[in-house]
Amino acid sequence: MRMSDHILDELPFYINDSLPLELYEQVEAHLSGCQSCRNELAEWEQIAHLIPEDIQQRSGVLPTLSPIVRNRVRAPQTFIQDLQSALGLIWVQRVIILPGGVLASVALAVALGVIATARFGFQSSPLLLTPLLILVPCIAVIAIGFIYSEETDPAYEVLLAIPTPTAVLIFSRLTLALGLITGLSFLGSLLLHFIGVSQLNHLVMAWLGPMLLLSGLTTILVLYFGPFIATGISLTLWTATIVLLVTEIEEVSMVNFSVVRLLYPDGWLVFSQLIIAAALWFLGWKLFIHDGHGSTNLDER
Amino acid sequence: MDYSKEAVKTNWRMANKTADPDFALVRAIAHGDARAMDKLYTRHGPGLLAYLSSRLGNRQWAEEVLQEVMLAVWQGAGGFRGDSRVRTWLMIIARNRAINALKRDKSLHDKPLEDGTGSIPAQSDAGLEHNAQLDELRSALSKLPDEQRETLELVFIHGLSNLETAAVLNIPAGTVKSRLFRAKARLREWLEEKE
Repeated sequence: MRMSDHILDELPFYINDSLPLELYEQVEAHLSGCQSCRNELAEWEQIAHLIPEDIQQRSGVLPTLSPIVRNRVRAPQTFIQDLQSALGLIWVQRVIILPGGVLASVALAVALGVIATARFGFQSSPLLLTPLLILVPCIAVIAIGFIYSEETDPAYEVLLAIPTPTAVLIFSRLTLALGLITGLSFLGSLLLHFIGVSQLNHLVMAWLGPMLLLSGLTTILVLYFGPFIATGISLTLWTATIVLLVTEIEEVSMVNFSVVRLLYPDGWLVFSQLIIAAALWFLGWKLFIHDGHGSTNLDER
Repeated sequence: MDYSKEAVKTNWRMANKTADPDFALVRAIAHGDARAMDKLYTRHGPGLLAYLSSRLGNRQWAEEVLQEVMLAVWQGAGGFRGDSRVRTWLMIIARNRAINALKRDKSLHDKPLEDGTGSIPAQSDAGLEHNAQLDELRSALSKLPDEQRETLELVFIHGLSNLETAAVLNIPAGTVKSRLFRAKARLREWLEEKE
């Protein structure tokens, strides 16, 4: 880039006095010896002079702050109001739960598990269920990752329209996602129990851990990194677990503990995943209580 | 001089808290100071209203959205870290609210700006000729693509720097410059015709 090109780029910001001092002096020194750039500057000044005359008329007289805003300013949002916001956000998301795909995706995953368990049994041949156990958390992660993206989540629209603290959104999304998965898994497990295939806790325990953990993680990650990165991180974690699992099944254990225990309802890994998922929700709740008012809105970050 | 985005951001973070008088106001707002809110509104309200009027094309609608912006400022003040100037932060909020309002309520506010400028002071007879020139300028500006007009306004009305304009518009700094130069080329044609 020639020197003049570099200077020409900076002329609008030289006029509005927003250049750093060093660059300002550089532009000034160049202008003193360059007629062509001075001509350009004159044109910019003409435009800069004309535009404010036109646009500033639009400002007119500043209205007073509305009573609604004033009342909010004088009375910070209470915990009850925050709770109402969170419930409101959960309610808004019925649009994506019913026709949007979250319910359909999780229900599909659970239904596949119920059918497979009814067909093959659980205790007798757990490895037959391995593909499903791998697939189910993936379905939940992808569904949550992409349905909770900015483009598709109606709650995000509400967030933009009504200033909503981040904590409220995290809490409402976690509550919704984890509640939905727990509820549907429990229904599936109940069904299997009634047809006498497995004990009540088998399906719930075997699936809830990975599903809740990965879904909770994705719910939070998608807020900050978008659907692709969030889904990518969650699926990578899950893939790493599966790799450990497969190597152990092939009797090439890579770690000191048994990952195969993941397949069993009383596996410690499942319990730890459940605990971590519960901790995520609890943190969402604590954040919500402590930071319900005054945190940064997502769109202004 | 390191003029990278990160360097400028770091400089602002360090310098803003002492150099930008508005930063103290935002801190006070975060602690529930209603007078600080009034002061910030008085200081930046006219600029925000001008910007919103321009974006929304309707004065009354702009006033409504301005209230939303101030509510967002009140609620978001606690999270403002001083990564940018307060004015830039306010413009980002205003722009997001304007975009959202356009998505949400466009059908309710379809009157053009000229019908909604009730609070603009009446012009004297002496200003009529000047008004005619302004009409010509409005016409030239209205022919510019919206993105170019918005960029011109942010730089010349609101005095934002290149990086600040890029932050408000959520585009690369180089794109700000190219938009400005395309706008200038078009306005130059208009100015030449006028002369």
